[in-house]
Amino acid sequence: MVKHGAIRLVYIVLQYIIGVLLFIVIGSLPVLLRDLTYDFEGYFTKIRELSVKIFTLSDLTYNGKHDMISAVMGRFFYSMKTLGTAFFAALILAFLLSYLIVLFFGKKKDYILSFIEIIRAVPDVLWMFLLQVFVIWIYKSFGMKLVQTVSLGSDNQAVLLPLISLSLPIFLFLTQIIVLKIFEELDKQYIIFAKSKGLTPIYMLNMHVIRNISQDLLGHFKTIIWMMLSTLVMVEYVFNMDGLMLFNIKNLSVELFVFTCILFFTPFFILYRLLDVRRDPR
Amino acid sequence: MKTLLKRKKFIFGASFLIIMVTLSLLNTVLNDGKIRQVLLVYNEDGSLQKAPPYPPFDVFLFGSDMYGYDMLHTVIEGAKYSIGIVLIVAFFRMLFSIMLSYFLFRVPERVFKVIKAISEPLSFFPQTLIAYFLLRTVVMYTIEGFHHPLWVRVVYEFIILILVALPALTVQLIEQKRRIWKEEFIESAITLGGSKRHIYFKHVLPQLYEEWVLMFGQQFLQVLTLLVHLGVMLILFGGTILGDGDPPTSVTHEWSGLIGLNKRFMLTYEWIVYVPILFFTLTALSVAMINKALSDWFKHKDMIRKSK
Repeated sequence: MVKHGAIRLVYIVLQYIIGVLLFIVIGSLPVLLRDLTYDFEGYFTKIRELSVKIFTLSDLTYNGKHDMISAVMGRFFYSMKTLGTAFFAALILAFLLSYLIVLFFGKKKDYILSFIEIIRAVPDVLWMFLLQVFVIWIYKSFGMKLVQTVSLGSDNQAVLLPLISLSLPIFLFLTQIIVLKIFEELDKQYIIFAKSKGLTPIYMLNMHVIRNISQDLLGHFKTIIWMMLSTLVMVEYVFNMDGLMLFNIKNLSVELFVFTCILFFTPFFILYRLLDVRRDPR
Repeated sequence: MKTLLKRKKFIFGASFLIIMVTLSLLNTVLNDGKIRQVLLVYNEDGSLQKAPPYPPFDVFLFGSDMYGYDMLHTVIEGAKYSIGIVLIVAFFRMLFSIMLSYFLFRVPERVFKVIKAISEPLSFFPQTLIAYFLLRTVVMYTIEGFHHPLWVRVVYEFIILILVALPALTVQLIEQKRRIWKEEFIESAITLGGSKRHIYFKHVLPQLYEEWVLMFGQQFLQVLTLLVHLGVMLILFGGTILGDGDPPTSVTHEWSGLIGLNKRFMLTYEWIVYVPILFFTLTALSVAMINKALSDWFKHKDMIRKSK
């Protein structure tokens, strides 16, 4: 038992180290391909240099002179806070909407689902531009400023619009999956049994269906994180938020980029492994 | 096939795409790729009445840009590039990952676990960011002009856009094939003595090609989104021309470029940005509709087959 756990731990640590090395190898590619010069020598030097720096966590700089860690950490937590808030907001809203659909619009679910699926194709940038223009239009025509549209300095931070535009794609995606899974689950035998026992639909959903579909939802967690990370880049760019992604775009540096990826990777890696252990607690 | 052509969603989506591309090609063939331009509008007595940019519904239906070019015409001229680029990238993404997964899908479970473990961290590269980093030095215009001819830049951009998605897509395809490979009828086919290649082409492929068609549609949408992202960040397809002092301009009239370049007019002359965005959205919606119609059609076919 203990031995098995130890082997598993070693395997996980190994996987993490491979992941970090992969980030270094791929993240350094801009050095190799800079202006298509195929600078192999510089590339391998960079990989070696970066590996030493990252595994010892020392001498990390951007622009060659400023110390990175102090500049990066605050922005990283800011980005993660935005990401987390948007995720949970999307999750809660998606559950509310799916309950609404399941309980009251069960007959129309095919139309609603295909509408969601089609509307999901709209590029996320469009939502951001539309939201900005909507707020500005209200300001122009009614003279009232609802929310900040673009972050300008630390006093005027845009909060609501970035959150909405970050969570909207996820919200649609989650709603679609949850509704589909719930209806799949409602076709099963035990639901008929539960119904004949006289349980209320709400009770059935909360106690049985949600528990049974939660595994499937966790399976989509990786896709959701992947979608959110690429939207986050655009959200920070469009709303000028002082997060880690925008910091990357402003200070183009291989070291910073690799370190950023590792920073985002680490918490989710731990989370995934914990989920794996929970699913398969051997 | 007839039942597919009768679906409203399919008709709408397909006709929008076909009309856009045809008009765009015709513009090149018949009109030499020129775009309608009205420089200034004078009154009858010769005094100046209007100057560009014209708002929508005035001189042109969709307004004009800063130099009096018709926005609708510009967008149509750009359509073949945008839709073409996205089609090519999505097609090659599918082709390469199908080929890769063909060679990789029968590896032992242990090796597959390693492949999965390696591909997991890759999903933490924000696609937009890595593409931005890799493309920036190559497609940007410098004081001495572009360092590389147009075709090098275009091929390079294609390669990057394709490579960015390959690992995740390949793993997804491998998982699909392994799922099919575990089915009972494959086992009986092996027992009956079918060779691996025979089984692959006769039994596995027919199960999968429908899913591939749908995946192609999803890839199309993903590439489209990536292209808009890059456009907003001023990485334009074929190269960004940065003059000194002048605003950056694009080599083609490709849509993502139009969005990125005109973003600064968003508050003053908003239609210059919104017309390309509108067409981008319409393209995305058309593809999503085609995809939805196809998946409904496949399900319908499946039902008919089972009820026979």
